[in-house]
Amino acid sequence: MLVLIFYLGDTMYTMKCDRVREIAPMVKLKQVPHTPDYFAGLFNYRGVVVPVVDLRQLIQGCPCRMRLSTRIILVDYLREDQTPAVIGLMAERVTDAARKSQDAFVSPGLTMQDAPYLGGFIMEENEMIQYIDLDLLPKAFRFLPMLEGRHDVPVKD
Amino acid sequence: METRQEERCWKRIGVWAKDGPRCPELERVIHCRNCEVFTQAGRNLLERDLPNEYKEEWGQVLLEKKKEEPTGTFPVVTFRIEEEWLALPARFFAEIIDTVPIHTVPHRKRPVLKGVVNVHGEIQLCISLGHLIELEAESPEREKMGRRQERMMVVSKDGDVWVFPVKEIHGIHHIHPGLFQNVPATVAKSKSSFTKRIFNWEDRHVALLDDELLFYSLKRSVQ
Repeated sequence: MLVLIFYLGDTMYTMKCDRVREIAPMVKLKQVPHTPDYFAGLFNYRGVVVPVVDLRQLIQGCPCRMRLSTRIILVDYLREDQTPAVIGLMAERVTDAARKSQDAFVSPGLTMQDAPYLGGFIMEENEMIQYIDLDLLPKAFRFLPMLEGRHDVPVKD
Repeated sequence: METRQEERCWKRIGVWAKDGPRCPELERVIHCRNCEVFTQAGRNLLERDLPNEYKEEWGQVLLEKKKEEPTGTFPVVTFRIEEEWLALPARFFAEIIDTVPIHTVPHRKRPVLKGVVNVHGEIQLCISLGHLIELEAESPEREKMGRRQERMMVVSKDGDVWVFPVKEIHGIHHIHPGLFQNVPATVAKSKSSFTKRIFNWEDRHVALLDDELLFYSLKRSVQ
């Protein structure tokens, strides 16, 4: 299975490539006020407004450095109402992909209430790389205005 | 994998060293480009700050919709013989070579067979495609424009190899079958029509040659 290797600060992270639509260079983002600090902004991705999340801000609490290798990973996901959408994930040193066997994925059984998408690891010979579960990640952004599920809107009977 | 940018060992002791490569790692990696040190140095180039206007430029690129590449295309090689642009399916092409001297064959007066040529040490038949499919000769003005673009195409089918001198080769085009047009009936009926389909390329009409008829006639013409 192909996985994408990237860094947040000095820590290596990975994610499965099957949902990754495109790796885009850093672009100018439209800031939106009153959004969480990990919400980096919006940009026009081929005619669609796509929200971009700063993964380093989300996971480590400080923003991605603006380097040439800092890129936006465009990921397909399903909204709460099952409509397909795209989200951008900003990360540092997005320069490598690697093949890992399915056996290398392990879950230590941790469940973090605030970050359920960070539960799994890929075992390397001498290290463990934390992987970001793209099935669970968009659910963590529920309170973003762009991603708000319909169930949050009061329904009148 | 600690590397200092100023180390540049590939120039000091690696394959680009002035006094010859002597890095012990070369035993294992053969060439510096396979070595982690070199790879890491390349990666470090990306650890520079974003240039000005970088974000704006890429923002412009990414807001464009992606053009859909047509699928199921058909590769052809387009070339010019005399005044006509022609095409043949790319699968018949063995190679394109620079023009080499043609040795005429005695007692062969047919203009179709120009002679034999030496391709990588093998003798191959050299055919004038212009004569075979009865094209008018190039205008003298155009002929004067130079022979720099002249090439020879080495084409093979079922083990037979043919060499055709051409005035110009444009390259491989991927043509969608939907873009092929039928040949006008007036042309198709004429005896010498080797044209199977016509397609537009830039502002020209290109004739896709009927490969079966072409190779059949070739065999006949040299017997």
